[in-house]
Amino acid sequence: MSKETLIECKEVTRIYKKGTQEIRPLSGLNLRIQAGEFLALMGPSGSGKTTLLNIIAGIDAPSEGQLIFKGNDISNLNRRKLTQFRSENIGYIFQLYHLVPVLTAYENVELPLLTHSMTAKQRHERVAKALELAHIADRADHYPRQLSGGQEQRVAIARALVTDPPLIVADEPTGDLDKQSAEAILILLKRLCHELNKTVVMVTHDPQAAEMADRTLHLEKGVLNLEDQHVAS
Amino acid sequence: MFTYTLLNLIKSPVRTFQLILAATIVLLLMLTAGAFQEGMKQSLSISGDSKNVILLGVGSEESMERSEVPFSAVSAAKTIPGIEESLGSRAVSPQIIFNSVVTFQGKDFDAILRGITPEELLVYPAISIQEGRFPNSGEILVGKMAYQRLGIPKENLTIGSEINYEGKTFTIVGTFAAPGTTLESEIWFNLNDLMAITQRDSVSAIILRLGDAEFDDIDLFTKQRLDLQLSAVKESDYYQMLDRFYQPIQTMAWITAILIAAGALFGGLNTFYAALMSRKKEFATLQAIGFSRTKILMTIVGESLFVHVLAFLTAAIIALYLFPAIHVGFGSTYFSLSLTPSLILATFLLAFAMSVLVTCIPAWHCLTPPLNNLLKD
Repeated sequence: MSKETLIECKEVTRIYKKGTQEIRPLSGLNLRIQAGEFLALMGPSGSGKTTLLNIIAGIDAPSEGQLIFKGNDISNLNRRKLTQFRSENIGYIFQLYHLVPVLTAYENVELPLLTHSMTAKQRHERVAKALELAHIADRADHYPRQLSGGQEQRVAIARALVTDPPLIVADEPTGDLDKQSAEAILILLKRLCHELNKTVVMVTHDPQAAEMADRTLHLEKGVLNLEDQHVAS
Repeated sequence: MFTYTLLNLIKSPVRTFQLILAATIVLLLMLTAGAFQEGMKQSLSISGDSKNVILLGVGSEESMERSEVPFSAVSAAKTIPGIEESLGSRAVSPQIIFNSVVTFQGKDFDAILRGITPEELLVYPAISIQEGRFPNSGEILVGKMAYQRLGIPKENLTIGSEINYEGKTFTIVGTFAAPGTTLESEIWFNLNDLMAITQRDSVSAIILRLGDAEFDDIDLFTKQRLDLQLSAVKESDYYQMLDRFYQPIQTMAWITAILIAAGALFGGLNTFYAALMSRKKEFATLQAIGFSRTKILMTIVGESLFVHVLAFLTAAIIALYLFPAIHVGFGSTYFSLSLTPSLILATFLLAFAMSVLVTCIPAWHCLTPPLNNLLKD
């Protein structure tokens, strides 16, 4: 596994204003994530883990501090440039999959490629490969309503993989799945790290899911208070 | 993305149908109001011939029906130099015109009746007798659109049919055409017959067709012959005046159409709003996976445009089929709803504007909040 730093958070603080009240889900957080690392973020509700995930994914921006991605500061990018950043670097996996209901599994996976300039043939090759990697190629023509939760999440993973991003972020990817499906998804995520050298940052409430990661960070009230290093399995 | 747009519409056929229906109602109402105005305007503008001058009774310049001109003015008008002449007859056409009820096959019908002389064909060269001949006493000539004004089948109003008026029977001996004018909806009697029935010794108006003479010559004549109490009005001005007279009706038609259309528009807006808001998370996901807001907005507008283009086509097809068969009459004015290329273009532009308008508010709510909030909602 490469030890190159992919992401670095420097004194990252996020402040939301609610009327006159200030809410700080993240406060002066420092963090380094290596390329190819599988990192789990844990913590109670309101601890700031999803906020951190969104900042890392370019969905939200820090109020203070810096977010360095591949050596570039992305903290102050405007909305348009953040969109482009996400398109090129991030694969996002949601707890409730967020597949487009009117599109087939194949078409859902193809969607992110429509923001890239490539031929239909190139797109087809990418989609086929992503579906294969997520072990869901046999359901390519199915609509989301025709799939189980685990299968939908596999399609979502294929969608996150299809642009070949260096970073995959997952917000409680197993939160809505039964134990067996959850385990299969976690194994898949782990394989992406170890076989494809993808960096995976996952928010989870489930300690068993976190056990699958290389490292687990525990957040509480917006600060890191514990770090577990796991032995690679 | 086009497939995605199309699939979203196909996914909810009921909702798509509601959207198309609401937009079709709006566009059809706008087409109707516009066609009403166009029809009336065309009819009145074609009806006024720039070479014709109408002699009316002083004080009745705005209404031929209410005007009274002494019959002696007819012979006096024939002495005006410069009036058009054909085969020894001067183009001076005295006439009576009014709305009344005629009986046809035992039923009463509201109709426009005009008592005329053969000189009528001299002042209106565009008028042609399509079938039969000019009426003598006890006979009538009917305009080729008179059946529509009466609301009876065309085949019933043919040569040989009889119409009763004031207890007297009149036989149809011919039909005439006066393309695009309100005259085509009229029933023409022999002037003497109508004067006798109505016990009038005056006519409604005298229409003159200018040859070398100018309007000012006719105007001078009316000022010199004060005993006849005449007023000269250019025929084109008379119908423009009628157009202004009917302006409030046209305005009312627009107001009514706009009010009903506003209801339909708000219905459509509400349906569109609900439909798009239910996909708020979907749009957030698209942003999260790298789609720009502009691209998503284009998709939303694309869906709306598709709906509104379908609605426009539906409204236009309905209008093309129905409007020629819809006829409207006010007093002596009678016309069909008229679709013009500019009206169709204006309706298409309205459809385009609506397609953008209905997406503005929901698109604002779906795309402008911070992305993390949209994903959390």
